Amino acid sequence: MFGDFQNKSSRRDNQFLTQKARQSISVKNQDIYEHKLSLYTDPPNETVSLLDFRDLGSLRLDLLRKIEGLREKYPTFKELQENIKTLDSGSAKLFHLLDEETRKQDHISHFILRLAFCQSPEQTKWFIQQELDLFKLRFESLKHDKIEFLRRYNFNLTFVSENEKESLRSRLVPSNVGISHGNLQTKAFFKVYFTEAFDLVRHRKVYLNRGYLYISQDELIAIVSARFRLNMATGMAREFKHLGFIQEEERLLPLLKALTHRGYSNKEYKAQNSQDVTPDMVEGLANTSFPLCMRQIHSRLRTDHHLRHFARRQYGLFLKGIGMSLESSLAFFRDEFTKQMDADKFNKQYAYNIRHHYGKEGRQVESQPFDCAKIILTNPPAAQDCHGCPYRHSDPDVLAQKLERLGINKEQASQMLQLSKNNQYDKACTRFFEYTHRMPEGGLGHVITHPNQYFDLSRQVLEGKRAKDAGCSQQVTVIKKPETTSEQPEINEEEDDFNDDTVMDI
Amino acid sequence: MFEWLSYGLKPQDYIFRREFAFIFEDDAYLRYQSFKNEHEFRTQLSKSQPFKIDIGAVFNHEPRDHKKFTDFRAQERELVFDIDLTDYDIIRNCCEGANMCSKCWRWIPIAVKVLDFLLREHFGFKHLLWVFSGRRGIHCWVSDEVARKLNNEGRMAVAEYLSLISGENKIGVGRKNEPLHAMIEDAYDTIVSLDDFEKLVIEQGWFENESKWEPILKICDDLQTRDEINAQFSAINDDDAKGSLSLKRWRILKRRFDEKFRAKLEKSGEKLLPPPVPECKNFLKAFVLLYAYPRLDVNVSTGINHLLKSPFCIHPSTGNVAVPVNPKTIERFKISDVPRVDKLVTELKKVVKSSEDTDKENRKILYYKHTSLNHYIELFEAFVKNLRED
Repeated sequence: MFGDFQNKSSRRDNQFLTQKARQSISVKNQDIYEHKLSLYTDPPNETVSLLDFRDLGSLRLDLLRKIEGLREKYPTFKELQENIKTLDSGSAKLFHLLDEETRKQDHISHFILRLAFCQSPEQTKWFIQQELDLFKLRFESLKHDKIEFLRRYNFNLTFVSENEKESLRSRLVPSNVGISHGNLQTKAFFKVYFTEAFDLVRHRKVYLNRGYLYISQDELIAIVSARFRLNMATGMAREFKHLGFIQEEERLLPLLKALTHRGYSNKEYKAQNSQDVTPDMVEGLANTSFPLCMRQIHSRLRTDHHLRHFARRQYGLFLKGIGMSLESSLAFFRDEFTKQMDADKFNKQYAYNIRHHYGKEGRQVESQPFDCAKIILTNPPAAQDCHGCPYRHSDPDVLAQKLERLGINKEQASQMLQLSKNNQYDKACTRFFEYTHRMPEGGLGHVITHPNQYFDLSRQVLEGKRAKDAGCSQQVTVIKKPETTSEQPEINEEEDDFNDDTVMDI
Repeated sequence: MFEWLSYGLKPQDYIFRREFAFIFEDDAYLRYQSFKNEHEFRTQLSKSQPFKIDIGAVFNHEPRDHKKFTDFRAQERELVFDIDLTDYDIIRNCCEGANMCSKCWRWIPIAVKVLDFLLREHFGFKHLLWVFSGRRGIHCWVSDEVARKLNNEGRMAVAEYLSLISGENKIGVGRKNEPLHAMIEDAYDTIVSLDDFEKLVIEQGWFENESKWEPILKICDDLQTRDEINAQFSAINDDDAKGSLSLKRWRILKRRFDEKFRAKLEKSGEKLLPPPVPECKNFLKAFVLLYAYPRLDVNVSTGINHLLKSPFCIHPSTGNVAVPVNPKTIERFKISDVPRVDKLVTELKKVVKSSEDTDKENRKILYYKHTSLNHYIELFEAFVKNLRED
C-alpha cells in the first residue's frame, strides 16, 4: 500500500526522532496534485522519511484539532467558514492547498492518520468526523472547481436544463429547502439518483421524481459528503485488516500511537468548564500570556522534550493554576515526553508526579502554584536548568538576548536589566508585561508577584476586560525588596513525598 | 415462487443463499433454512409441514451453513412494507385490536393506492408485489434490483421519506402557511380523490356531531375560521340520514380548503367563500393525512434482515390465504372473497374427483388452477414475468 519507508535509524528508538536532515518528498506523479481537492481514493506512492512521517501526521492532526476547536466555538457551518481565517499560518497553509507540495503533504498525511486511527471504532469515528468537516469546508471554498471535482470522481449528476427546471417550478420551489420563486432561475440544478444521497431523501428536503433527486448547487455538498464518508469508512476498515499483517511494531506503530494519544485524548478531555486549558492551547497562550519564566521552561520542554524536576514542578503547577485539568496536563506532558521515551516509562516515572500535583496521590493534597518569592528564593537553577526567575537567575547578557528575541527593544531591555540588577525582579517582570501588551509604563497598575497573576492579568487585558492604562493614575511604586508573602512557601512538602531525582534526568 | 426469488440469476449465486424460516404451531421458529432448488424446497416443505413460512434475506453464505462463517451477513433483500390495521386503532371508531370490519378495511386500499403511487412515481420502482396479509393488513414487496441492494441506511431513508405520522398520532405537516413538499401534496391529492376516503369519513362518523368534529377542527390554527366552520356544521341538521349530514359537512370543508375542488366548482360557475387565511391554509391537508395516510411500521422496512411472511401462506387465525392483490383494482377487493383453506380443500376435492389423469405430478399443478386461487396465481405470475423481462 505505501511505498518503501526509509529506515534511517539504528536500532535504538531515540535515533529515529533526533534531528536529522529531512529529505524532501520526491515528486513522482505530477497530475494527481493538479487539483486542489481529493477524495483520497488512492493512497500515495511516495517515499517518506520517518521523521516526515511523524511530522506530517502531527501537522495534519493539529489542523484537524484546530478545526474541531473552531467547531465548538462556532456551531453553525457558516460561522465556521467565516472563521477559518483565524487559523495560524501553518495550519492555514495545509488547509488551503494552494501549491503542489502542500497537496502532496495533505495526501500523505491523510493516509498516515488513517493508519493511526483505524485501530479502534471510536477513534475511527472521531477521525472520519473531523476529516469530513475539513473536507466540507474545503469543498465549499472551491469557487469554480466544484463541477470539475464532481466530474473527476464520476459523480452521476446530470445537469437539469433551464426548460425542464421551469416546467418543474411548481414542484421544485415548495419541495426544495432554500429555493424560492425568486431564486429558482439563479440556481443550477442537477439530477442524481437517490441512492447517492440518502440524507436528502430521508429528510425530504428535495424534490424526488422517478428515483431522481433534483438538487440545487447548494446541495452538492450533501452528495459529496456521503461519498466521502463511505470511502473513508470502507478504506479504514480495509486498512485495519492490513495493519495486522505488516510487521511494524518497532517502527511505525509507536509513532502512530503517539499521534492518537494526542488527538484522541484532547477530544475526550474537553472540559465542560470552558476555562479548561487544553494542550493545544498552550502554544498560543505561551506566546501571549505567559511570564518569561514560564515561557523559558515551555520553550525548553519543546526543544528537549523533557524537563527536570524543579522545572516540572514550577511549570506543571503553573499550568494547573491557569486552569489545566489533570487529564490535559497528563496529555500535554506525555505528548512531549514520549517523543523521547516510550509511554510506559512516562507513566511509571512522571505521571505519578503530575497526579500528585492535583492531589491524586500521596497525601491527597493539591499543591499550589509557586509565587514569585518562592521561585526566586528557593531551588536556584544550575547551568543546564531552565526553572527559576530569569530576572534573578539568568546571566544579564543571556537575559538581554532573550528579551530582544522576544521583541523588546534595546532601551526597554536595558531598563529591565537595570531593575534586575537592583533586585527589583517584580518590576522587571511587570515592565515585560507592559511592553509585550503594548501598555504604557505603569499602565498595569500592579506589580507582578505571582506567575499566575501575570497570566490572569494578561487574559484580562487581551480579552478587553481590563483597560490598558488602568494603573496610570497611580504613583510609580518605589524601590522595594522582593516581598515575602504571608503564606510561607511550603518548602518541606515536595521533596519528601516523591523524589524522582534518582530517576535518570537526561 | 422459486422463480420469483431467483430473479433469473444462477441458483448458486442467489437462491442458495436466501433464508427461509419455517414456523410451527407452537411458534417454534426454524431459521436459516436454505435450498438448492425447487424440488428440495418442496420436499422439505411437505416433510416438515410448517404452519407458515417467512422469507428472509440473501446472505453471503448459504444460511443453513451460517454457523461455519464468522462474517455471515445479509447482502440483499426486497424492500418491504407492512401495514397493519392495529396501528390505526387510535383513529378507528368501529373496531380495535384484532378485529376488523369492512369499514376499517377501507384504510387499506387507501394506503395501497398512496404508497403504490409514491413508490412508483417518486422512487421509480417498478416491481411491486402487494400481498394481503391474511387478516387485517397488507404487505408490499419491492423487488427492483435497486431496492434489493439497498443497505439499512437506504431502507431507512425510503421509509422515513414515506412516513408522515409520528409518535402516537402526530402529523408532520405544517399547519401554517408553509409550502408543502411534493410528496405531501401528492399524498393528499391521491387520498382525497378516492371514493374509499369519502366513505371512510362518513362511516367513521367524524363529522357526525360536535363532540366528534371538535378534535378535528382543533387542527385548524385560525380560531375565527374554526368558529365559522363550527357554526356552519351546526347549522346543518336536516332530517336526512346521518350519512348525509356528515357528507354535507365534509363538502363544506372541501369547498373551503381544497384547491382542486374549488377550481372545479368555480368553472361550473358556483360562487365560493373566499379562500382560507394563511394561518390555516393547510388545515384540510393535515386532517386528511393524519386520518388516512398509511401508518407504516418502519422497523419492518428498515432491516435488511427482517423476516416477512411469504405470499400464499395460510393465516392461522382466519384460514385466509395471503394472496397477491392488484393495486389498481384494490377498491373492489373483498375479504370475504379471499380463498380460505377450508374452501380450497373442498374445491380441490371436487377437482380431483372430476379428473381422470394418472400422472400425479401434473395433476397437482393443474388442480390449483381450477380453484379460486387461480386468479391470484395469475397475478403473481404476471408479476414474476414482468420482473424477468426487465
